[in-house]
Amino acid sequence: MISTTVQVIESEGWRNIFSAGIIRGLITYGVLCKVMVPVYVVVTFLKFTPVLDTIAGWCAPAMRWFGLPGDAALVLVLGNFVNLYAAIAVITSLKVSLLLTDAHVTILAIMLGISHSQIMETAIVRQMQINAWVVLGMRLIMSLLIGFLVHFFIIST
Amino acid sequence: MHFDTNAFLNTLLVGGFRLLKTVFLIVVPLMVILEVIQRKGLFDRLIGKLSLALRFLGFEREAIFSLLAGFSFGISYGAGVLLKETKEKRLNHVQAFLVMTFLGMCHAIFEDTALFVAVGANPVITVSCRFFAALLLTWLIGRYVFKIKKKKTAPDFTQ
Repeated sequence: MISTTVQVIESEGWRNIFSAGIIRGLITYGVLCKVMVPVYVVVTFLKFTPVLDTIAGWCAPAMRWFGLPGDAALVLVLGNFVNLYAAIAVITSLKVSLLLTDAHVTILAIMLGISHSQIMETAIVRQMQINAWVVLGMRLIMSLLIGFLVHFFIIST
Repeated sequence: MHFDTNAFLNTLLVGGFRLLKTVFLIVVPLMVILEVIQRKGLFDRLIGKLSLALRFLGFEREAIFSLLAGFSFGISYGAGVLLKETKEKRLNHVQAFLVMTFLGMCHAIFEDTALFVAVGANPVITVSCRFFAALLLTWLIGRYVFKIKKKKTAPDFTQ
């Protein structure tokens, strides 16, 4: 839908480029909202129940390797299983509750930058006839490794 | 069990609108900028300058298009270009794998970084760590797994 809309506005003129960009932006934004809003509502709801705190408690020991609080596990899980926008929704929710600092967010940004949207992106790698599992494994390992190294050497929390 | 409805609704609405506003202010301008870059072919000048650096990493010259596309726009774009190049036999499977290795860790850099900066990340640390991690892994794999080495002397034909 995005590409056909853009093809219609064929001319190279600035006004047309601008309009095409805005339309592309709005359509993309709409798609993203469909992910972010449900995630945000559910996470915020769970935050006010014991559920999130319990899960955070289980994950806290592992998260400590990266200098992150237990709640950050949710960010990483959603970032990998869904996409970055779901992760951002969780981060926003946690930040409002003052559970994440900017340092935490930076570490998460690096870790998620390396490995996110695995379900969708592995499907893309598959098309290339490259072994998707190898790429997936590399990204996961690097994400954890770099997260640990960044926390150990660069960002302390 | 006590569920604080007031606090919940407050967090929901305040944070919720902040989230929607933040993402909107990133995604829409970004798409406009990307549209401009794509339509005006602003990357052509960059390509020549990058060739030397890329060859050091183990990439062939043809890989640059998919690398730039993926780095700037996202993995789907990079993969799309890559698919086209491999189908038309301009890139072999080793190169494709190296491109995917790099892009896997470091794609859509503008979009992803902007997003995280908007929720508080440090842009310099974020970009540099991701970028160097990707460079390092790609170089290591190119050199030690695929044995791509920069030839310093002429090939030995007597063997």
